[in-house]
Amino acid sequence: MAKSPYEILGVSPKASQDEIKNAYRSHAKKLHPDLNPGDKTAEHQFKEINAAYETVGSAEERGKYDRGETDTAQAQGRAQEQARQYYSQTQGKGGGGRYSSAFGGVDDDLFESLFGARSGRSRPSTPPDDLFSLEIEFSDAVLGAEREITLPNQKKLRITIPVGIESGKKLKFAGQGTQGGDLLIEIKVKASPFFHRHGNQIEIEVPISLSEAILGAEIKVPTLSGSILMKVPPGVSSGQKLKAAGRGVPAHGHHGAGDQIVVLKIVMPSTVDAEFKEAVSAWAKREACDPRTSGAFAKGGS
Amino acid sequence: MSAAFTLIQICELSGLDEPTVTRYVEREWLRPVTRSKWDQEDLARIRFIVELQQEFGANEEAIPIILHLVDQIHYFRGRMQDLAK
Repeated sequence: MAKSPYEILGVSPKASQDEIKNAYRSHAKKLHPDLNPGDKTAEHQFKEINAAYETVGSAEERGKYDRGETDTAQAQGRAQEQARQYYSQTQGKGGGGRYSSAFGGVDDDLFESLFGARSGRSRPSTPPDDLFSLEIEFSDAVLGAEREITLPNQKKLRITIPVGIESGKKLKFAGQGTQGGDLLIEIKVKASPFFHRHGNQIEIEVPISLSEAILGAEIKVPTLSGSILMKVPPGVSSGQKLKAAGRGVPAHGHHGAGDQIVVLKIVMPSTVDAEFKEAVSAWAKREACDPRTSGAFAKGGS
Repeated sequence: MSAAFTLIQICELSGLDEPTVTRYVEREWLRPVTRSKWDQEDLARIRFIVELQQEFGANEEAIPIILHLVDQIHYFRGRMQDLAK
């Protein structure tokens, strides 16, 4: 005899709607076709729990079922109709989806050693790939860009430089090699004279004047995405850092947007007038603060 | 031959608005051939992402991890099918 929807979902016929929903979700997570590619059993069971949920998932439909008014065949049919093309179906079955092809090269040795020896016949040789090196601008590497490049064989190609790409990474263009294989482009990121990348952070050293350091100031600071204004607090020392949130490497992949760290560097005026020197001299006598005998340096050095 | 969709059609079919789809492209959760030409793969993937969020409660940190692992599975299955021939 066919199982009841309650049995299929693993709940009591007296279960609350919430309990039914949670049971459905719990099963769906395990049996979903996109999370079990190629598993026919899972697919069948998934359709079953969907049909069961259709029948008792809403209070209205459940009422009908409990009163014996539901046409279960109709419910099954409805579940089928709503079936759409799952993501798994676009990636498997010889389609070789774009997204899963991106893993080219992973574990090749493992597969060759597992299957190459067993098959007993010579492995079909894969056509060789083309490998070129491309140097890109620092800002293009961090921010991403679309560029048209010309390959050594004069062929032009429009490529997307992914956000946050680093030197050594290869861009793959399946089947576009001249020898029947893939086209691989190894990226080399040019160093920037001002910006330095540490993971998701961008660091830049910014000079400030003596008066700005003493009095504080609002200064224009370059970032890879344009200049911004930042406040320098009064009394900063060289080496002190300011943070421009979100102005580092933009969000990409698993990473959120990084920050730009601004390292301040006090630059002395090239000349000072006698009046200034006198004022500083008098001030030094008053204030007498030797950073070598107080503070962190005094404790650390000796 | 796979159908081609525009960004507007993709938004209609998936129920997401343009800023959201654009954000997913920037994060590389979606990689359409070009920003104005989307195919069945992209549409199925968007629906998968929406389902992960709405049905399975996956948050923004978890989704790229799940996508990455699922894609790896597909890659390995594909390789095994190739080598079994």
